[in-house]
Amino acid sequence: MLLRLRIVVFFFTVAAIALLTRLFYWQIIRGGELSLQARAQYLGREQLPARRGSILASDGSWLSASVDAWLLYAMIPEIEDARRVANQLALFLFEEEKEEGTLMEEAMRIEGQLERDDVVWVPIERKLDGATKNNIDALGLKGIGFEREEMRVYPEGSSSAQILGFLGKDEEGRNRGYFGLEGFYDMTLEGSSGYVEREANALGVPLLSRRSKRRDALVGVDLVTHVNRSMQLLVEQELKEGIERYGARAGTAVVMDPKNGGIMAMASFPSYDPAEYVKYGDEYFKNPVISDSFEPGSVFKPIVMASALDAGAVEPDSKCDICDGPYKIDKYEIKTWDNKYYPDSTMTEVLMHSDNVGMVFVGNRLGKDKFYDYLEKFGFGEVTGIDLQGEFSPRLRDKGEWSGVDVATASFGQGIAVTPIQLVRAISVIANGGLSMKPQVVDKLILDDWEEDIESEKGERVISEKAAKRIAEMMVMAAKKGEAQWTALTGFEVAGKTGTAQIPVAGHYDDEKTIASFVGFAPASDPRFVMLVTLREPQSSPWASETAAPLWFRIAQGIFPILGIQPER
Amino acid sequence: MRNNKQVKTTGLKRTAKKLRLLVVLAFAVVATSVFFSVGSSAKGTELVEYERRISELESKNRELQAQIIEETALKRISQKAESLSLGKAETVEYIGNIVSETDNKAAQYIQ
Repeated sequence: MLLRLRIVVFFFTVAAIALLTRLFYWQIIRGGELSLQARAQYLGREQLPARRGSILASDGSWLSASVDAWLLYAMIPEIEDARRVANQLALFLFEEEKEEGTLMEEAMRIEGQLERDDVVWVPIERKLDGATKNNIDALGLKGIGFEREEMRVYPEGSSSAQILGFLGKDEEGRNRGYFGLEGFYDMTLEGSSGYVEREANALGVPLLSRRSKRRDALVGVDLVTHVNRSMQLLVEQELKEGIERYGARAGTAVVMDPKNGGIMAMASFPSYDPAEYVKYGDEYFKNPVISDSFEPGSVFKPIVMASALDAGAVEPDSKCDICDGPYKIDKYEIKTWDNKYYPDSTMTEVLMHSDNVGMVFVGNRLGKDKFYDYLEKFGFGEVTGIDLQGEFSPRLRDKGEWSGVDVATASFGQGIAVTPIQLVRAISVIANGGLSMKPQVVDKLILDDWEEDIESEKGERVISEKAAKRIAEMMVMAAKKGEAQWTALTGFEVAGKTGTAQIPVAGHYDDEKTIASFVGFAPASDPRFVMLVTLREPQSSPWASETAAPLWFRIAQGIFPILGIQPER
Repeated sequence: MRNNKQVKTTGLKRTAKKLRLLVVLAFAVVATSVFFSVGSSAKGTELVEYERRISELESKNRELQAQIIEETALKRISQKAESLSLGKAETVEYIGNIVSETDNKAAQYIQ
């Protein structure tokens, strides 16, 4: 009896120990893990995605926006008749205008996806619009479903592509802005996603009596730019036609408001479609206006002349005493572009005739050090700080390294490299009464009722108001009576200057290859815009007066009504 | 002896009364808890329904905005204008002046 009792006691003791050990294992050792699993069952967490901000033109219209798109997928085990489903889907997914294969090929592609036996879930098509989604939904196909995804759209197509940049993916597959505004303001546009976490019953219905946590998504901020949509389209269209008309390899045009530095239009060709960026090579993404440098040639002359006028080195009626023939310096001989010489030319005439020898006279009067100081004050040698990703600045030769030849050639824009945006900013100094303004694309940031103005950044005074006025008058004469006078618009006071620069190739200048440009502003008395047009290697004529200048005036003629500029006489 | 019996009966009655009170109280607590649980569960269903409707409306709103974005693009408007045979103005008239494009080379000012 006692033995039986002991066996029972022993059995219960062992059982109790085993039970306690097991309990210890589940509660203590695996307690944390199991607790997490249990939480996952009753605690629901839902991501609240943040919508990327839009990029708007100055009138509030969209240049870039995020819209809903749909991912069409199939749950393969639920598909009953793959061929029938594929044929039905192909009718909605085949896009004739893309001319990529036939309807039959599209049906076969879908059928191939539906017949895969290595996966359960398979994506069929991405970025479907709402209408197509609704149409497919109405078919009630078993095993076919949709997932919402965000799609970036550029309603004006390739217009302003190089200002906007594009939205791509980073190494981890997350959305990321590249180039232009999408790149520069990526974090501002992106926003921050939120979540809602709460306990729910087996049906997923939230239990309000239990704890819940919520963090709302912070939607991306919208950018309102200075870009004038009508002007942007005009500039792009005219530039494209101009490139075709003059047989140029490439071209750029940029329009800026000299009073606040706002970029009203900026275009370059060749260009790309930001919505289809994957189809283009990297070379298309670079914005030549801010990333490419060129030797400016004669469009640089107003900058040097303005510096000399401000320094008191010359007056508009100062006479050039070396302008009677080619000028010799070291082993070089500097000639005028047309080999015509005008002895005792005034400075106004030097600019009017685009006289290289006359500009050497101006450079010599200014002197090496002052020449360098003014170049720095005009902003050459450093980036302008424009709010676009990818800006580059060519280096300026150090102050002590300038030789007499360097000053002589730089005075007519040779042997010095600038970017188009640097040149536009420098000419804006003249148009803005001597004050420098930082170029700026974005005007304000907006989010619902909140709004923040991005104030124009005023730079230093570069030249006096008097010098700015004098050089503006000289540029008016250059536009009216210079080599491009035939193309000038009568009735409007335009201050401008042509520039034909040879392209340096392997240590020498190629006579056949030129960059033709025209820079100017209007109306000269109260400038509303500064514009630079450049054409790379025009074939119809190498001269800017026959290519870039007429194109500039064509664009200006379209800009006048957009800005409400009336003829002055 | 009789007194002792009486004391015992009274004590039992009191205990039974307390027990009944306790049961009633427990029932009341359970009933209230069930009532609120059912109530909050119904609210949860309501909340899910509201959230679904909000999501639907937001989705519709985004769809309409996408339509506005597409329809107001200048590219689309110019295509429509072209289909209606509307062309770009060749002459711009200013107050008191007319600037007209006479050829590809230049525009002439007429006073």
